Amino acid sequence: MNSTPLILSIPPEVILHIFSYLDLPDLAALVQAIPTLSDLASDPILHRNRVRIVAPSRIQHSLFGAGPHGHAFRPTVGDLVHRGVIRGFGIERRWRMGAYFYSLNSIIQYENGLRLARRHASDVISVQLKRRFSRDTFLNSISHVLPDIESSSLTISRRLLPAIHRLKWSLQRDKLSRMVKVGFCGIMGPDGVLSFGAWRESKGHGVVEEGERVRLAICPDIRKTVGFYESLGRIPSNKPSSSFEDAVIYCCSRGTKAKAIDTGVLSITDSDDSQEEKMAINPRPNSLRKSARLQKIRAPTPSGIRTSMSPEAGRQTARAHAGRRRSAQKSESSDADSSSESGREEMLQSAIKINRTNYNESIMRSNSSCFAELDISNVNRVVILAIYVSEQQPNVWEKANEFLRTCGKGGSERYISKYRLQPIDKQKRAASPPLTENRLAKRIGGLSAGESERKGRSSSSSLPRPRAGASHQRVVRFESDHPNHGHSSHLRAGYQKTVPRNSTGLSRLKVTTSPELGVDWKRMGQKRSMSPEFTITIGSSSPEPSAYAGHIVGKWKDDPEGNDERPLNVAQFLRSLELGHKIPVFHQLHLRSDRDLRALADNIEDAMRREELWKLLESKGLSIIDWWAIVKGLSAL
Amino acid sequence: MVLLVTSDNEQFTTEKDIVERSVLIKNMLEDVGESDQPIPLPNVSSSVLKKVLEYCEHHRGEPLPTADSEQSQDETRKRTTDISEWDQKFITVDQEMLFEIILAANYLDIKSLLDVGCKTVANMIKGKTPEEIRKLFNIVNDFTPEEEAQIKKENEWAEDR
Repeated sequence: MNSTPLILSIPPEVILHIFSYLDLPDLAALVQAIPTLSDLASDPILHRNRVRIVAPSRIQHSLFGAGPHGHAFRPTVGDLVHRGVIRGFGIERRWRMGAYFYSLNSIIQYENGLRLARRHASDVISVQLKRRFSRDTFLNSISHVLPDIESSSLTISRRLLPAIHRLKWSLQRDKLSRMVKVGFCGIMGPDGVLSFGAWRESKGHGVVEEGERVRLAICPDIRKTVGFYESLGRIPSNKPSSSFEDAVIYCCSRGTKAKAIDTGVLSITDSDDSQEEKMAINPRPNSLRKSARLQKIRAPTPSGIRTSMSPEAGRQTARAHAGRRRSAQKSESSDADSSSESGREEMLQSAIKINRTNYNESIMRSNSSCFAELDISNVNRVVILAIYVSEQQPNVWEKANEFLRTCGKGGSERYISKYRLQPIDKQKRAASPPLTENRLAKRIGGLSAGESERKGRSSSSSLPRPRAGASHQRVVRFESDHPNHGHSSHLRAGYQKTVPRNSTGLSRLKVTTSPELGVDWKRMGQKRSMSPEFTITIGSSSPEPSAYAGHIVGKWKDDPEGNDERPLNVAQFLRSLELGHKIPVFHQLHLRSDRDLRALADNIEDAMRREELWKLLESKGLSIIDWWAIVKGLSAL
Repeated sequence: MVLLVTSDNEQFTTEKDIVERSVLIKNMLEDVGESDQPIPLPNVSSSVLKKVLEYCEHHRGEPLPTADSEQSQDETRKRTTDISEWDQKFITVDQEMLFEIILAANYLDIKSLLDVGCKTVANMIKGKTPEEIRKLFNIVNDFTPEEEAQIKKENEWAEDR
């Protein structure tokens, strides 16, 4: 291998000749590889020749060359304007017009325009900043956007928000629980806020559904009360009981009642002492046979147990109304005296007081205002059994519900059973033998349609089926259309073995209605004597809620004609309506006597004042719903 | 006929129109006139002269480049390193012979052969890194890294184009 590279043996002019074929990068690489050639590579003549040869072709390429798609490499004026290389006013327009567009003045004009635009923008921003909201105004303006004051506050760290929210929720929960705790008895809270009980009375009807849980939540000691009444069935009948708080109201028209009696759905036994009727639902034949004896056993019937009057009886009582009013009261008091032998019966009497005279009067007055006279002030819970024949009368149920609600009993469907007496086919009825009371009662009691269907017996074929469009005939069967009443079947077929006692509050009530039923139970092995409940049968239609209230007040005054001028005690009045928790509110409104109430009632007559009254009530946190009817009824007196 | 004597005393007899491709011999013949005296070529070996005469014989009859045409063709000629197919095949020799041919063409003043040789060398250098160039020409890198960096720095202008 030669020590001297061959290329170095070539004379310089030949090397320059070779270099003339090389481009600059190749020359650089060559010089780097063979530094001794660096002088030749940087020869000025060589590069002058290069520039002389290369530059024109380069310029030619840049100015007039075109890309593979035919686009010129050299940008047009429009392209330069779009790229921002050439700037000025209307350059593109001038260029297209062929005018001169790049004078010194145009540049100055353009720069001045830019300066003016910048100044205008700064003026707009400064004006906007001057008009800017203050911080408080800004926070107020966005308070509807941000969820709460903490979120909209700029001084509270975002990281603290969850803790603050949790704290607020805890405080709110504590406050609510305190309100409920303090207020379930209807007492004003320490901070003057109305209690949960008051709220439930006024607005909470639709929100808080009446039920076992709610009752237990509001009245935790109700178990004791319920246990007491359940124990009543076990204690001897002559043992005095402390109180009575449950009642059953039969709600049906007189015509319906007559049909029900005819068909044995209801049995009526007469009480010689009080001249009152007592009604029992669906007794079994045996119990019917024994009813007279049982009646004797359990006599005297409590005066509170009322039945609806038959038309004849209604007319008679109407005729004898004026004369008998006082005597009826006396007889009632004598009844009470006679029943004082039994402490229990006494308690029952005191539990439900129904002024017979007032009752008759109400029938005479409105022909139907059966609810009006009922004094259920001492009755804890009321169960209404609405019995009707045709669909024209279901308003009985609604009115009964309204009645309960008006009286502050928390009316609910759960407390109301509906029984519809179904008509039967004429032909089938003609083919069937005439129904005696015993046979009918047997059929109904032994094979109620609902029960037979539940048990899958084939005996339902023996029962006439209701047919659509059938004319109203004598009622041969009844059934409950209430969906969840254990006690419905209980009442309908009192001998049933499976009585769901604890499924609802009603089953706890043991709303047995007659001695017969109680006996049946006993015979069925329930080992339970009849519970001391009442039967109150009343008419179907009823006046407006205000009228109920009026009659209630009238009865409460213990003088149907309103002659009694004794001053009223508002607190007593409200307690009689189970609205004792309204007493502080009435006091706030300076309503302490019947005169105050009457004055208020006069105000109600005036529309203008009524509006003011409404506002006043609302300012007190009151709902007008519950006691509006009371005052309205006062005005009707 | 012209008698040529190489450096290793070998005699080549060629035709006049072939040997007149060399501007040196052509001028010499014009100055001396026709004679039987051999023309000594002390810088050319017989093997190289054989290749040169082969080239001249292939290109006999072609017009010699004049000064004007050379000037006019300068721009294109300088930048194109294209070589005709026969020339490419002719010049495909080892590196020592290539440089001998270049030297002989330069000595004999055969412009076209010199261009072919220089283009061939330029094509060998084009697109190669310094290391590849060293390997190509069998050059030992005896520079220190500092010297190499210095050289590289001096030639940055040509690299980063």
